[in-house]
Amino acid sequence: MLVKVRSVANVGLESVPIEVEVDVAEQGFPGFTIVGLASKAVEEARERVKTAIKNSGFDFPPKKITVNLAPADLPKVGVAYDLPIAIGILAASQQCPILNELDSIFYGELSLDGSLRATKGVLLVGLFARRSSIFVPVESANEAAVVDGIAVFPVRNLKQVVDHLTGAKKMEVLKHIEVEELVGEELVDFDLAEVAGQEMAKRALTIAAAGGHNLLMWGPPGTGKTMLARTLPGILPPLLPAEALEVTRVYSVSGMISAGETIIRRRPFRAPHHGVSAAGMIGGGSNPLPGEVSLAHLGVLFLDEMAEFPRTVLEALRQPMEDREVEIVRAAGHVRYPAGFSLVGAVNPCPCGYLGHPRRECKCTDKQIRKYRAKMSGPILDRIDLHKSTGGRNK
Amino acid sequence: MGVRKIQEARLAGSGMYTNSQMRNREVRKYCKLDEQTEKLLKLAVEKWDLSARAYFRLIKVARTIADLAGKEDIDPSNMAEALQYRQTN
Repeated sequence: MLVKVRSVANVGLESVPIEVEVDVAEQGFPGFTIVGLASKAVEEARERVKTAIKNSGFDFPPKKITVNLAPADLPKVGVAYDLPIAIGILAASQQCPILNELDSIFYGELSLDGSLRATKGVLLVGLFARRSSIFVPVESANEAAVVDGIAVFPVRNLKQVVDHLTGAKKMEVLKHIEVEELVGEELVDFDLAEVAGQEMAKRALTIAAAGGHNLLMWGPPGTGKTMLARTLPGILPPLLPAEALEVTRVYSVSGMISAGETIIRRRPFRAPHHGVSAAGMIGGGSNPLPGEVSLAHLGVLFLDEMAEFPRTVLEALRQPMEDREVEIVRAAGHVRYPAGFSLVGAVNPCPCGYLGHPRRECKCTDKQIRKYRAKMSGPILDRIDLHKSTGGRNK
Repeated sequence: MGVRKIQEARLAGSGMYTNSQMRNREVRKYCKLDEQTEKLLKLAVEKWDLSARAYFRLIKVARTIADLAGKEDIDPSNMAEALQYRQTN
């Protein structure tokens, strides 16, 4: 018997409908095949699904099982197809009916014991669903609770879904949450008033925070550059509802929303170490994931010791700083992620750090200083609106 | 921070929320400069050989400074403060 189950593939921040076709044939040698450009993780779904079905107390049919993930020419990655495949097999082997839930979307990773694990991208699935129902892992279900007009079924285990489909025990729909109820609360934990002195730098920081401008702080070690930047999360305004959704989409596909959490309410503050690679900063991988610039969307990207970052990484920031988004192109395809961050950098005036210090002597040669400064090119500096010295001399 | 509310209201419906996000078109629309402010900016652009990008970025920063002061229009002192933060070497 042939059964079709709906699911979703997330390509970057776009969602594509996937039809999981499961055929359990009476004739033919017993086996289990998945076709439709399945990646390794999808291939391995066979073992997870088979064991989960058995451990949930159902029969895994000893027949010829063929699963097709359509459209067949779109590469499938990730583990979210476990649940639709399992439901498809159970329905095709007449262990549960699917007719009443033809429009529903099934999405989630199965554990060997039949329970569902937190799966990334649930918010995107919810936004894609529009008026239909979605069956998603209970730990990630809250992400979709903010989407209007859909029924979210938080699934604890496979048995629960089957009981729901047979009508033995109906599942309860997750309570809808308004985004407005979640955002807007003040979440201040650090205040500029706690920073002693540096009035001029505090003013520059306030302007940067108020308008989302880029800021670069120059100064010898110990003049409070990092400390000032660290106050930013405290003085940045909370996210607006529309902004919170934008930010949460990025975090949802990155799998960076902790279990049970709903949406990101705090403005992002990302402070990658200067050892970061270009792919880590901009986003990348064969199935491109968002990088730091996208995780800092609508928030702050703080680069401490900015001159220590590889030049290629800094230069790669030029395009997102202008366009507020990045397009990542790989052989497998291209994805677009938002990257509307405000850049806050901190640098020493020279390698030893004490150039222009009122009392300490700088030990650097002219050549060393020139080389150090050259790390940050003109085009990058031109994109920085506010340059502020925190002591010493800035040129 | 009330100053974000001002920006949000000004840019409502555009998908933008802050002054830094404004494109040149919005800058022209929402950041009218009086004669004196314009003159100050032009002088700085000439003297320091600033780029067109820097020109628009300066206006956006001046807009934020004016918003922080709760002012409707950008005045020369706002522009002067914005210029003081510009890297000029």
